[in-house]
Amino acid sequence: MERKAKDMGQEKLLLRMYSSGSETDDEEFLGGIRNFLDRIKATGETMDAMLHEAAIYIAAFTQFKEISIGVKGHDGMFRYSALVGYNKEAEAARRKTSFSLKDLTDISVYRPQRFCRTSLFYLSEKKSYPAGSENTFNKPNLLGTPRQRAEDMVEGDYIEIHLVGKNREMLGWIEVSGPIMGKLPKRDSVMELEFFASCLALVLSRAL
Amino acid sequence: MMNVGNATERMLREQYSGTPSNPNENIMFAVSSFAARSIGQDSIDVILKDATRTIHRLFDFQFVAISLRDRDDVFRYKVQLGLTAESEKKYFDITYTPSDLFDDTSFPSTSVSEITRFYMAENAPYKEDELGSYARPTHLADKRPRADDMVEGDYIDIYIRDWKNEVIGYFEVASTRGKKLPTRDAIRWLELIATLLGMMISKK
Repeated sequence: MERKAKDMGQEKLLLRMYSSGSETDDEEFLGGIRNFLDRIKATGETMDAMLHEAAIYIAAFTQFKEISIGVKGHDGMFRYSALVGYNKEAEAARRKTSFSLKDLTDISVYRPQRFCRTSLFYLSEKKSYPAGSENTFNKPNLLGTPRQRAEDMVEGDYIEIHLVGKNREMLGWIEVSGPIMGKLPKRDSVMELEFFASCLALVLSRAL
Repeated sequence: MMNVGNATERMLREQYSGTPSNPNENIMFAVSSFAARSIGQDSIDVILKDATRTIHRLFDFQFVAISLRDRDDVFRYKVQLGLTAESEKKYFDITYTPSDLFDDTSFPSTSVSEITRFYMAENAPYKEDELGSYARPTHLADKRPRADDMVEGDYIDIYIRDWKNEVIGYFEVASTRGKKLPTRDAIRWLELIATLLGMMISKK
């Protein structure tokens, strides 16, 4: 077939509108998730490597330094698979930890505060961790330090978002803590994290 | 529990609402829900229809379609929203080869990203036998009033890629309600939805 000529004026306009200039925060966020998904597809990585990539990406687009992602094992127990931002001791302690489904879903034990759409906030004051697991935190000596202001996020506080699969089956969870400025995250940031969690749940449900 | 901790919980309850507070959050919620619905859904047809409905509802496009690559390596439209029954029949009869899609010769396009192609009416990006598939074919020769207007004959394709990053289909969107070219954000969202859809309907 004979090549049709392009309208170059229209082409320039489209390239200017859609392919040039600096990206807005929203565009950067969406492009980042797409790149993450393309990357994990292209590399054909193992589940652990894929979740490690996800944890690194969460650290990049949120203000949190400590990111854990846990998944269900073949024995039905849940264990941390990807850990980013923890010191050696805390990481080693986390690697040895396992949870039952009840440990993760029974909110009557630590009574987390539900916020945004699907996030759970575990408060340091409620000692939201089993006795003897203080070493799973980066600074166990700071556990129990009084919170100065309501907007502070302190050692022992953490946020959890569940990764849910078919028929509401629990596939795993994302846990974040240690915000760079020591403050509660902005609502927008939690919303973005929840959105990313929904994409990750899809990946897990297809890849597991 | 200390009072400051109580105040933190109150702050989370009062200031971190789960209700969308702007159009972008509304899209985020709807796409999350679409992703959740797809989990455990084995019917590709159901997922494709859900995708077209979601896009049609969230964005400004009056026309949304999805074409998939069949076993004979030919692309065929599987679902659409926005055409009359008569146009739909003609539209579903159209087939494209990979070279129709990836080679600019027959259908000149502007590539604005790795997976998005804009087809503009000025370049007549259609074959003679496709004219019947347009909702308003008599408007195909209309002059574009302003450069950023979207007119009959303009359409945008966004590739859907599988787990191996092979193109297995594409979204086609056209005809914005506001008669303007879509926003950059809308295109970025469609690209992300296409990426998620590729993971939903192909095997790892």
